[in-house]
Amino acid sequence: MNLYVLVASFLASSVEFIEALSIVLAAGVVYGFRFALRGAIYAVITLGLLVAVLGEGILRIVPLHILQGIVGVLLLLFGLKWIRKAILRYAGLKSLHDEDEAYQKQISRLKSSNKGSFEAQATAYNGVLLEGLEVVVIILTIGSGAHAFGSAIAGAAVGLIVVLSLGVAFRAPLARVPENTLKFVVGVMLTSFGTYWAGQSMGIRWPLSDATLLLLIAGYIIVSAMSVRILKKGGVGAS
Amino acid sequence: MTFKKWVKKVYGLFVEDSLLAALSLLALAVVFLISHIGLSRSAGLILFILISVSIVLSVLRA
Repeated sequence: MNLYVLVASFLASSVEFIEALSIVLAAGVVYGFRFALRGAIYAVITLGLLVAVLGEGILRIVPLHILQGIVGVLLLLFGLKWIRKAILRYAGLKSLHDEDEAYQKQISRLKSSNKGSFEAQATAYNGVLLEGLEVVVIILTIGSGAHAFGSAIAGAAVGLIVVLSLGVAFRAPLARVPENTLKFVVGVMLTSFGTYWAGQSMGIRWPLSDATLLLLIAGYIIVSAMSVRILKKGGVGAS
Repeated sequence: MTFKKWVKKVYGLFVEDSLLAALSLLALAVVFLISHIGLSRSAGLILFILISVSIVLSVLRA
């Protein structure tokens, strides 16, 4: 079991599960949970098929070092996107992502529609499929890069269980979970993994081997904190 | 969904700021050259610095 992979996968997929849960809850509250859950289940089946087809099969075709390079670049881009968003949000340049607000918007959109159960089912399906697709990317990239599919899947599964338990317990869009902070942490982790693997495939010999990841994580946290400070000092207002 | 839309969606999954994406890819190309001229140990630090600078530049122009 690879602990780094497990934690990264857990954090990254939890964020996506929270967003998917908000959409399913919104659809369920308006039209009943039967239709919303049916849409969610169809989406989970679609995603399961995707992982089954794209998962282990890749490792049999593509050599590990090439896969690490491709995966590293994708993770780096994915992580940088999240870090950038988090920095801009902390600096007040981008409005904070509010799951509660997103949930209310989803409910009013569904209420204004007359398509009924199909709308609820389709909304839940689309929401779970889109957010789940990101989870699939996370599992495939982290799992194949470290040759640790088991740990990546386990991390995502724990994330799913935790988010579902919270969802059942609170029956609310989990606004209490500090999603922006979680996204920032995930962004830092993905960027660090991406830097490490992409760099390794470009010929870098990391001095401390896997432990370099901890240095990269610390480094990106410092860089992000400095960026937020610079932006705040610049006196930029929220948009 | 048309192919163009699908490509756009996949692109959007990984890239929000094209400058940041381009700079990080450029950083990887630079360390590829550096590590192949025998500086494979310092290349890691250079990659980290280049990507950090890219992040700062990207958020500053936001």
